[in-house]
Parts: sequence; C-alpha cells; structure tokens
Amino acid sequence: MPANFDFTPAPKARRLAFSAFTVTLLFCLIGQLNITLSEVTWPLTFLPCIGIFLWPKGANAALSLCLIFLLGLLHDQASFGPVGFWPLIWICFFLFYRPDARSRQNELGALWLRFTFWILIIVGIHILVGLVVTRLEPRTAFVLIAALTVVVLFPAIWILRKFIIRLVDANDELGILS
Amino acid sequence: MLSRERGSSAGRRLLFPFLAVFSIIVSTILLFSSRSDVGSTGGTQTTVMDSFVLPLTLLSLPLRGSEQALKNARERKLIFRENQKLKEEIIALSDVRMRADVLALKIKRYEEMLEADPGIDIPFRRIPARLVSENDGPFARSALLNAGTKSGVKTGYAVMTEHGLYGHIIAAGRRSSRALQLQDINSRIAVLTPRTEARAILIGTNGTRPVLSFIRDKADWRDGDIVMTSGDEGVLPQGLPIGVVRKSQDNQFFVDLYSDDSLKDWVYVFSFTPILPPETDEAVGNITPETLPEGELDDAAAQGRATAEAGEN
Repeated sequence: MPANFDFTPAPKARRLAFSAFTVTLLFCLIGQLNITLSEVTWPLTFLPCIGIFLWPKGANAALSLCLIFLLGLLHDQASFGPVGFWPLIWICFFLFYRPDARSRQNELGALWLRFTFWILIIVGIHILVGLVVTRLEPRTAFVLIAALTVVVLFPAIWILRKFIIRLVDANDELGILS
Repeated sequence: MLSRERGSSAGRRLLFPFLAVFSIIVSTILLFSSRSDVGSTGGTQTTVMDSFVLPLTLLSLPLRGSEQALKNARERKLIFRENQKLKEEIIALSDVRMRADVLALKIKRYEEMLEADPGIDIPFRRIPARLVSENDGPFARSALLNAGTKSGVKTGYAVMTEHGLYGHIIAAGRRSSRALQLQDINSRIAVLTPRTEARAILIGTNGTRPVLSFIRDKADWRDGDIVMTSGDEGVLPQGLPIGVVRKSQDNQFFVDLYSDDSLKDWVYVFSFTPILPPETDEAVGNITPETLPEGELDDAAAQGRATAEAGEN
C-alpha cells in the first residue's frame, strides 16, 4: 500500500466516490457490448478498468473500496464469469496504483504507458486464473484484443474526462484531476 | 475530548486496511467457490440480467445500427451480381420446392396410414428477441436476450439466427434470458448428418469452431457434411441446421457454424416441449383400474384373459 495514502476524507469525498462509481457502472454496462468492425469483433470487457484507473484521488478511500468491490461483483454477474474475479483484480489494482500514479505523473503519455502496463498484468492474471483457479483455458486471443481495444480507447476517454471536469469544475477544486 | 478525536482518527485509519483485507479475502473465497461452475446461473444473476437488459438494449441500438449501416454500405457494391445469382437460385429451387411439397404430402399420408409419430417437429412458434449483448467473455461465451418468461421463453429452448442454431437458453428472467453459445466450452449438443444419419456430440471449445466428439468407429462423417440437431438428448427438436463439417489435419472434425455468417442483432427462440421419460409422465405412471375408463377396463380384462388362455394352450 502506498505510504502517502490520504486517509483524511476530502471535502465532498463521498460525492466523488459515488460519481466515480456511477461512471464506472456505465463503463460496466458498455463493457457488455462488442463492436464488430470489418468482420473483427472488438470486445469492451476491460472498459471498466479505465474507470478504476482514473478513480478520483480525493474520493473517500474506504467508501471507494466498498464501491469497487460491488462494481466487480456486478461486472462478474453481468459478464457471466467466475464470481469474485473482477473484485479481486480491481481492489488489488486500486491498492497498488492509486493515488500515487497521478500524484507524480499527470501527463497523458505517462498515464497511458502506466495503464498499458497494468492492462498487460490483467491479461497475465486472466490466463493464470483461468488455468489455476477455474481450470479453463481462457481465450487468449480474445483477452489480447480486449486489452488492445481498451488501450486504444484510453486517450479518448482521458481527454473526454478532462474536458467534462473543466466544464463542471474549472479550477479543479474537487481535486479530480490532481 | 482530545482522546475521543484520537480514537476516531485511529479507527478511520484502521478501517481502510481492514476493508481492503476483508474484500480481498471475500473475493478470493468467492472465486475459489465458484471455480467449478463458471457460467452457472442463480437468482442474483437473473436479477442483474433483468436490470441490465433495458439500458443495454438502449445502448446497443445505435451501435448495432451503425454496424448494420457499415455492412449495408459494403454490400451495396455487390448488389447487382448477388441479385442475378439469387434469381438463378430461385428458378432452381422452385422445382425443388414443388417436389418437397409432394413428398411432404406423401409422408403425411404414410404417417396417417401407419399412425406413426416420427417426432421430427421443428416448432412453428418462434419468439423474436433482440440480442442486446453478445458477451464473449474470456471464460464463457453467452448472450443476453431481451425476452424472458413474460414472452414465453423458458430454459432449454433453442436460439436460432436466420441462418442456423446459435445456442440454447440457460437462464430465463422475467424480461431477459441468457443463451449459451454453441462455441462455449460447456455446450454439448447431440447432432447428426442427414447424409448417413451418423450421430455425434457437438462440443464447444471456447474457440470459433466447436468440435464433433463421441463419434462411433463405423460412423461415416466427411468433410462438407451438413450438421443438424438430432434431438437425441430430448432437449432440442430434431432438424435445426447447425453448420458444415471441416476435417482438420489431425483428423478432428470441426463445424463451421451457419450462425457465424450473420450479424447478430435479432434472434429467434424456438419453443419446444421435450418428450418426458415415462417415470415422470403422470398420465401413464399412475394408471390403475380406478383411473381407466369403463370400456377400456373391460377391453384390458378381455385381452388379459385371452393372453392367459393362449399361454395355457
């Protein structure tokens, strides 16, 4: 766990956590869809990972954990996968990469690289969990295409998020972008 | 006052690590306990399915619409050539259709004469459903449909695209249902080829093409054979088209699915009442002299006497 983790509830920290929850829930919903372009199917299964990765720094940490756990369970149920898989991955991800990921580097390039690295770890975990826990070999090609899709979409979502936050909170008083 | 504040701060500090450890432990327990039944369904899943189906239908509308528009734009180039080909096919098929109608009439007459029920019934009732989310997950291949028990969908019903069998219903909520695709690793369907009536089990591999398994030594399967449901498992009706057999270099039989050819937006759920085993069929299982009509009881007694006399002679 990062040493500089902020335990003090920030102003409107709860509201921030619920906002992040709502956005990630929307990503969970969209994540159930696939895009078929030129006979190739691009799955959006990993889309909620962007929501977790860009979880606001100022959000109430304890509440965020509970909400992420709930989101993971919902995503498992909706995506018909093994129950407990996504909560475990997202909570570990949240603990290891938030919030220091953005306290040091806030540029898109650095974030994108970090996100790609994280997604590659998720791909590895998928294959490992498939073989060890569920004893099913996951569809590696599918997982790789899903990872590629979400990595390609990341900058667009980051820019959109920045644009929306600038509209609603011009001075970043809520500390979402920090 | 100060000590209370300190205590509250310490409590808050402890809450986060406690929640973190607790949620990790719970997730791990859930993961290990659910490992043997990936793709199994329960009450929670049906509730989640029902609540997700409406927003997913709304979200999928523009997505599927634009996919269809792109497909149409690509196909527009080929329209003239395709139209000519279709006209030729119609001329060729009109003769086949005429013969098929005559054959159907003949078969019907034979069945009436023999009082036989061959049990080959592709149901006429089709329940249209929008395929709102084709959840090609890393561990399971399933799809969410926006029709549930309210529309008459039940667990076990076959799901078809306009080209062929897509899968079968494994969970039905009130407004939604989940179909297991033929490619899913848990999918097992009894199939046959009409050329030789050779039987096999079509097993999903989680890949793009399912394989034929449990093939008898003498069974005659060839590359290019048409595959359809055999209805042997008593769950699906006989005769639903599935695909074409392809033989691999290591002598394994794969099936190229007809349902892969179509853009899956709308599907049809086929209602089918499976034939019940005699022990669960109450009408037969509970026959007693009291339940038989009077005339039938006399007939049965007369038959019994005749059999006994024949045995004595």
